[in-house]
Amino acid sequence: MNSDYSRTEILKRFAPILEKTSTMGWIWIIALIYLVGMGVYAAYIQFTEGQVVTGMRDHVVWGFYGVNFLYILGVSYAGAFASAILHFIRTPWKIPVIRIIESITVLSLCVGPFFIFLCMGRLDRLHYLFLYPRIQSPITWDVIAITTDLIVCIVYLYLTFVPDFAILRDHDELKLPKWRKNLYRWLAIGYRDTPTQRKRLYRATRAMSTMIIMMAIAVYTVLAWIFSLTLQPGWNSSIFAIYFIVAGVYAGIAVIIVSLYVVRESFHLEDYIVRRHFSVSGFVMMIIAVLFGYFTFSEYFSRWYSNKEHDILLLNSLFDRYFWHFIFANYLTVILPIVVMTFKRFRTIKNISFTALVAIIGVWINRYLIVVPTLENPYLPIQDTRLEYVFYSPTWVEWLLIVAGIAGFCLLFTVIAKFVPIIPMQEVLDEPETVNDTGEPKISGIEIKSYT
Amino acid sequence: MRNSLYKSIKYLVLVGLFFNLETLPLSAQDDDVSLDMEFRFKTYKNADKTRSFIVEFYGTMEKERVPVYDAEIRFFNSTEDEEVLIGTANTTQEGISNLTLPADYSYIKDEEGYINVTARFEGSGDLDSFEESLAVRDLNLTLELNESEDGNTITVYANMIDNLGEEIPIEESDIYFYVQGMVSRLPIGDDWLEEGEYIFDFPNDIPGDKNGTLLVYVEIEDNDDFGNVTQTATVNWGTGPRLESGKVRMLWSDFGPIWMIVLMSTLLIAVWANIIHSIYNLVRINQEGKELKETT
Amino acid sequence: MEKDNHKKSGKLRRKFLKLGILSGVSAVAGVSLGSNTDPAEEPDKEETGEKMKLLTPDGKLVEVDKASVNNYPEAYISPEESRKGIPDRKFVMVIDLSKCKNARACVEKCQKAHNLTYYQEFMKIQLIQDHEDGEPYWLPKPCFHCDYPPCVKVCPTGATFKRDDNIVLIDTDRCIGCKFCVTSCPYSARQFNWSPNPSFDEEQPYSPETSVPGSLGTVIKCDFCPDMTRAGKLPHCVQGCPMGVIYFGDKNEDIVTNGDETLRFSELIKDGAAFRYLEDLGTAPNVYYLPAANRQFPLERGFDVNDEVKARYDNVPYIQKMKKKDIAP
Repeated sequence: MNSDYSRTEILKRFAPILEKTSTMGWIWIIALIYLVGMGVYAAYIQFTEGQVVTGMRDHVVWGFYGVNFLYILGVSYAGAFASAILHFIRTPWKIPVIRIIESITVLSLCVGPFFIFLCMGRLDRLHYLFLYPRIQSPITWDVIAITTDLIVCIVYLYLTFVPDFAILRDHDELKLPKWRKNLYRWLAIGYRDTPTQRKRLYRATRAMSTMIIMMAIAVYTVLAWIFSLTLQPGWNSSIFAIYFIVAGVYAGIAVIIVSLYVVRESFHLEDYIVRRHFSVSGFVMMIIAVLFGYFTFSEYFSRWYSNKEHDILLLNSLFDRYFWHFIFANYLTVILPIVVMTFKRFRTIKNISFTALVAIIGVWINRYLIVVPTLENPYLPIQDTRLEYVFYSPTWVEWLLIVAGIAGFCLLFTVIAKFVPIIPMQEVLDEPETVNDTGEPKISGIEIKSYT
Repeated sequence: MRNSLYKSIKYLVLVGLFFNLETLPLSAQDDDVSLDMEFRFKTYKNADKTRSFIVEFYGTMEKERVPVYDAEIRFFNSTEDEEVLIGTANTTQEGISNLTLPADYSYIKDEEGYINVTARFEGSGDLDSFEESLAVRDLNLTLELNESEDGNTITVYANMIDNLGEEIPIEESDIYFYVQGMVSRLPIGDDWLEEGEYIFDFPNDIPGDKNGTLLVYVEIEDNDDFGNVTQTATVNWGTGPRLESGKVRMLWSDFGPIWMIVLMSTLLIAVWANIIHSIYNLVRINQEGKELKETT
Repeated sequence: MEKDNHKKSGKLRRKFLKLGILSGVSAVAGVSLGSNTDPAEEPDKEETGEKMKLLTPDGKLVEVDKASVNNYPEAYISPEESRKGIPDRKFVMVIDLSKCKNARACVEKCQKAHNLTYYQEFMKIQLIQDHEDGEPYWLPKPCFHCDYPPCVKVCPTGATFKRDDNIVLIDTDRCIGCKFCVTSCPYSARQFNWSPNPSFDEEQPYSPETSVPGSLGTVIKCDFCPDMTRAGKLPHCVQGCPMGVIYFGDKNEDIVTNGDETLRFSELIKDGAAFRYLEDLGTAPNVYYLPAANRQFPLERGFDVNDEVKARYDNVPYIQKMKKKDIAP
């Protein structure tokens, strides 16, 4: 295919990331390990002393953990969705970002379930889900869907990694410990990039990416049904499935943009991850933001207009107790991407990344406003209970575990970036003219590549 | 018998009250408390013609009933000049002492045919002696069950037994009818019985158990002369349960709707077929890699 | 015909002795308290916190710890058996709102019987105002044991189930603590064991019918006391209520009772115009309410409770309105 020269060139470019870790890098990793350790401590406290150490009580039985689970899985599905769609789009500018997206997908899918474990009262009985399954329960659907999706995502990600493992195997000059070289050899499963191997790999990857798009929709739908199939005034809504998918994709795109920014800055990949990446994903984010705003508006507008007693009680709570949360999550998060992307002079890498950060927080609060205030406003008013237990407020245990979850995500991301090139080398080699000197892609537009 | 006699349903309430005892505040520990003591005595003639003598012995403290536990109550059959001990019974945790004597027990009766019985607690320690007497005439309730298309009836005969053992219809009395429920008895009628006979029209809309069987109680209660007299009969006059055991909807069953299982299985098979397809391709890639290695 | 009236009532002035455990009674009174609570049989029996007062035959007033009420080892119903239900029964409850004055006896008796803490209530007393001009009323709220229970269909492990006798029970041995059932119940009837409780360690075989001993991290709720009905008794709340507010019985035999009076269920709900709470949700509850018409007590009687309990109603809109007008009860 390509000359060994270009292979060596590109390897040289990425070798330092894989071989060495700077002092700052070590500080970053140790800090993350420390935070994860703190989280483990908090989890230990929770499991020994009971969930009384959290802010969850008899009415608000799902707090931060539930929201975070919902959110992280949303990010994961968005990642899967995006990477699978990118797989079908033949455009060179996708190459530098595709692995980042895939990593986000798998890592969030690994981190997410921990929050549902934390939410469970009896983790020691987790296997009862398989011992005594009830097919009618949305939780059962969820368990099946998430485990299946995790397997699908891991297989998919592995398929996309195979050619790079092969490159890493074939270059003995990398200064890496022996076990890592052996591991690369094993993981490369004898891939030599022959036309037949290439064809097989492509066929498998194509099938899996189709699968992933459908899985992402199915899984997030099922997750939304956990809420919308109940009778609760704020949850019993038929648009929840699509609303959750849109919100998840929104958060996912935002996480991708922020990750791109971080990877670009920390690994100095300015020549690979360019402004074009940010503006394209920025526009996608804006479109999703508009959709998100549309669904949010439909959801609350119909509740407000139809004026049912329990819906109104919930809305009153949202516009009173949760006023600023509501403004941030459902106004600012919708309006900011539109403003930033509409005016060309606002459309800088920094601005788009900042907007993405706002969206990350905004969608999280939006999820929180769906879960918690509804539980605080059940059909029968909360009475004959200690007043301080009526409203939910998270404790340090929950805060610490949320932070530990984010830290764990970052840690795993760092490890992946250290372990395999964060830019897929094989694909760069296949498209030597991915970007030109000005940072603009040479091949614009979209064409479907055919291998047959 | 002027003292109030409790029906067994009230007995249940008593047990209920007993279990309702509340924890006293700690400060009560050193206080002098005052109790109003009650010693109640009554007699029942049961359906099997045995006779029970029942004493309730308790104190009342701030509306709360405090039973006297394990107190020995002695029962005497008395005439004007003699007292014969007929039995003793200790109070239970509920403060109840129950002496039941067989149907053929021969009591000493006075000229008018009354059985005079005295219940006595001798007193011990700080607790004074208590005693109460009652006089009761023996009475037989006989039930005759009549089934007819116009409705079922129960004819009640109430006969007093005189000193010679002859049965004489009583003049008049209240008469009560019940059917036994799960935990209590449902009153189904009461009336005034005259000249020893009463015909009761049995209601036609009582469900009974699953076979429509009903246990009917006919009672004379708190009667000055006869105390409490109970007679029972089992009839099959119930309409059967109001509800049949309902069908369980699939969402609530153990297994779930078929379509749901089929749909889920189909989806899962599709996904796994895909995964296996990918793994198959990886295996083939691996094989080709090995072949390449061997040839080179 | 009472012959003589020696003494059938009297007064007794007493020092109040408080004893630790039942064996103390034996020591003081020289008696044994029967097989069920014989100290020799259960040497490790810990204090259960439940007290009962007795007079000894020599006139000593003692308060003793009572063995747990929900203790019927001879009639132990295993979790497996308790899925079936009591044959040919359809349990129902009728609550007469016109008689409730928030005396909370039902709550307390239930808490004792189920080893609940002070703040855990299977029976909650709500202060409900149907509309702005309506007079609020006290509404005792147990689990409604719906015919189509939203909690049961969402349970992923079948830890909560609907029995043939109408009762919805929880098997806390099976519960994984996902709390989905808690969020699914539109009546907020379910609670959760958030923190460990010494009563969890009580040595007694667990039965879903008694709901004791509880276990950490599982869901709990009103169980309609099937252990009591099996023993031919009424549920604890029914027994506890001094006003006879709560009627309990079997719909199959059409008889309900509050302990004082026994009535035909069909007549009671017909004559009393009974309703079920939030009927439009389609859950088909088995708890019926008789409207709070012609009340026996003014609403204010319900505030004759301790300050802590009173404070639990502070966020009720009606109370807040009253407070604004400065005529709060």
